[in-house]
Amino acid sequence: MILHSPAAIATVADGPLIELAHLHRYFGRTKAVYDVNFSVGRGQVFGYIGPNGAGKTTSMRILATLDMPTHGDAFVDGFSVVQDADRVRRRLGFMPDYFDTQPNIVVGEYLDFFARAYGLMGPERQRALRHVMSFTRLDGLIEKPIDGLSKGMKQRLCLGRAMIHDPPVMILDEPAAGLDPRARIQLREMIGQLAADGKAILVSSHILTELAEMCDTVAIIEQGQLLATGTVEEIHRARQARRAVHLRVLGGAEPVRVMLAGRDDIHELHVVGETADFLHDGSLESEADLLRDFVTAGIRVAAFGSRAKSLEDVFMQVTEGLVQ
Amino acid sequence: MTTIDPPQDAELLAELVTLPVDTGWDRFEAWLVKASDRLNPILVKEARQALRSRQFVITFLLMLAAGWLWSIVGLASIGPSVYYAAEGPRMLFVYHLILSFPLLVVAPYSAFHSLSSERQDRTYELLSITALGARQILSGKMCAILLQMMVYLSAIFPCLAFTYLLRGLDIFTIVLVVSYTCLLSLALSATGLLLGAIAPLRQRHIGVSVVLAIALFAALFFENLVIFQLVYYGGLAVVTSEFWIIQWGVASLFANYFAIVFLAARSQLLTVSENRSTALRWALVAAQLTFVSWMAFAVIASGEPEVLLGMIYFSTVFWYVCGMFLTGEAGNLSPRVKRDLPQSALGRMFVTWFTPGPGTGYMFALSNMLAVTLLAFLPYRWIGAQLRNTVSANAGAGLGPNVAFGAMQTWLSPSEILGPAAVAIAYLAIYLGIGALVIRWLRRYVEVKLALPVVVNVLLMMFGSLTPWVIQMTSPAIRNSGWTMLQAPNAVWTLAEICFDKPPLDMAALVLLLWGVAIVVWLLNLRPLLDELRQVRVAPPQRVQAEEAALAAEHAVPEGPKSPWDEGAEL
Repeated sequence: MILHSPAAIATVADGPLIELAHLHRYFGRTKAVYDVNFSVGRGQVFGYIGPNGAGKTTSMRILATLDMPTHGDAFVDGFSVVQDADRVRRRLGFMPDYFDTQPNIVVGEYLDFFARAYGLMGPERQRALRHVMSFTRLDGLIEKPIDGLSKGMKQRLCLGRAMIHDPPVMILDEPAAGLDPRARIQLREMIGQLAADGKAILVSSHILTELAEMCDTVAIIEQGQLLATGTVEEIHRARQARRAVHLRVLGGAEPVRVMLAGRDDIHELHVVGETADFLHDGSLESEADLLRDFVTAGIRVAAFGSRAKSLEDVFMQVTEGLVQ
Repeated sequence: MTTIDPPQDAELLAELVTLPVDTGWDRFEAWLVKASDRLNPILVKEARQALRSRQFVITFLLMLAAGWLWSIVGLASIGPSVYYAAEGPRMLFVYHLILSFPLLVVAPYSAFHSLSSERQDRTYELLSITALGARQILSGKMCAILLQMMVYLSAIFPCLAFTYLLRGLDIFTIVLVVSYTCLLSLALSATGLLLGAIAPLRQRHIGVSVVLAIALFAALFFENLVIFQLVYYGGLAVVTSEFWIIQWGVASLFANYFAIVFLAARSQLLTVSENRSTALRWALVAAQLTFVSWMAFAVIASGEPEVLLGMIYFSTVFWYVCGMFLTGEAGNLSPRVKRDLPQSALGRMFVTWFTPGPGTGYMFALSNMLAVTLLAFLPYRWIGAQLRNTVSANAGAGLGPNVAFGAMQTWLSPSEILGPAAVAIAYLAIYLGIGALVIRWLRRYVEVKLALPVVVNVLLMMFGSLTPWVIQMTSPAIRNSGWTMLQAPNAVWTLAEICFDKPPLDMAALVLLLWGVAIVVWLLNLRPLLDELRQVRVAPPQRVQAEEAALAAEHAVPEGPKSPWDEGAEL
């Protein structure tokens, strides 16, 4: 086998950079991961959602070559994590949900060590260190012992360590956990920049609003099984989710109740004074038709608004009956 | 291809490349920085951490203080007799005592703690997913320990050098004392790393820590006993060949031990899809060859054939212990390992036994034991022929009975070598074979890790040895009969009986019985072995092939003239 420096790592031009194929992982009789399939392409931020113990970390650890699947396989840039772990590792940056607790080491030395461990040498290593320090805004902390860092600094250092060798694939397990709002925004920006650089990013989080803002695609996992995959809108549509419509009618909303009575696509209609709220099954087009019908019927619509369900709504709907 | 290439990097690179290099010191520093790129990253990191750690600083300062204190107290107690009394050994021994604690206790325990705590704190996980392999991680940790040893040694080195000026010591003794201590420290540190690799759980970690600490203090005690003898009564005769032979023996023992322990630790750090066994099996064979060579030399040099019996018994224990682990390996090879399976008929015939698997492991242990027995006959035949030649030469010269003839009378008969060897091989085949079958059955229900094969084999051996013993001891009729045929399953008593009380028993019947059982057990193990042998080489996945081809093309040497006579060469 010919060895090469990280800078020389080439990825396949097409095809997903991350792929899970019928991934199973059992711990005794517990099915931690059961037949999970999805793929992540270049420049894509893929959100992995699920409650504690759903199987997110297990599948991420398998992808990071830290655990072995019971059945199935996972691929990073076309290489099997089971059979070609060494090739996968060169292409992967992993940020676990825990922090490295090395004693007697400062930030600069810590990053320098990982740069060396990934085979970066000489000016190439110095360049990578400067770039990572600047990217993660750790420039001023180069001489600070890592056991004296705050949570947010540690998360940034962790991210810096994961990206020191400029991997095409990044796996971030709960990167925003325990961060203050400012640090979360910074982290979100960093992830956005990494995706813009063409990296495939798999990120898990409990904070669903965070994921909704940064992810192109999400996968919802519960009890080891993948319940839904796609954009939030796609999942919403696939689940025939309802959109909440709010209406304000000048002179009272009672005509709205009369007009909508008996329609199958309208649910939970509430009329109070000039306002009407209801849930509507259908697309944005059918909503536009509904508004037109109101206006045609002479109802004086002063305000009409609808909103898609949030990621939380989708998550609760998809995991209905499963999440305790 | 993805690279970190922000626009300002060109400026940064230019800045780095054009760093001012004016003085000789600057050039030296630049060279050091460049050289450090070639160092193992673990060494760099651990050295940085260790030199800042409280434990290292305290140990170093204590050593330094103890060295100075003993220099003052020792010299004061010697007084004016320092000019003529042979007080060098006493001073050296105490200096060695001061040195041996950090080297034989602190450094090996640091090695253990370094790896085991990383595994417990999961910092090892982050290390394992870098481009560093298991071998690099271990060698980095070994180098860091070596560096610590050097620093400790440097603290006491002036004192050691001072002892050379005293009477009663020569340079060889001082060098030998330091070399032995350093070698033992390295061997113990490698053992510490192995234990660190196999003790990731907290409960096991505490247990192993305690056992290791006790073992290290025991090693410290016994090493000091040996060094005491060496320093005071050694009377080193460096001009004699025996001295150098012993040094070679110690060196080869250390090299083999170190290789086996290091590779065993490495195999524990590899992922299950990688080949954990082949390198270790080669190391075991190398150790066996070294051992057999030394034993053959010992027989030829001493003329005592009992050494051969010792060799056979030691080999039996060695291959039984190795066989426990080998037969506990998984039977199904990963596609990764299958990529490197031997393909040719010759390769499949000889190299297959080095591929991982319980069946090949069982055969590997047995065939090695068989090889030891066959090799035992080489020195036996050689020395026997030498003795016969001497006897006939003396008889031809009319010298009558002589010493060689006397030696001939005490020379073991072939059956006295062959019998014990046959019994030892049979026991190995039976116990390892049954153990392999039990482990194979257990594998259906539980995950077989490192400890299970050991537990199974130890229980089997205890059951096989204690059951007939208990039966005999509780039967009044045969209680005082000594060894009886009932004890045939009792490997320990039977082998001891053959060794110390020969000829005590019906050897032919015993061999027949044991070999009959051994063949049955071997046949029962044949099916799983055949399953393993049916596995054939598989091609790497297309993605791997594509990358290999791309890299090969990248590293290919461009076609050009290879000599002045080739076309295109400039003359």
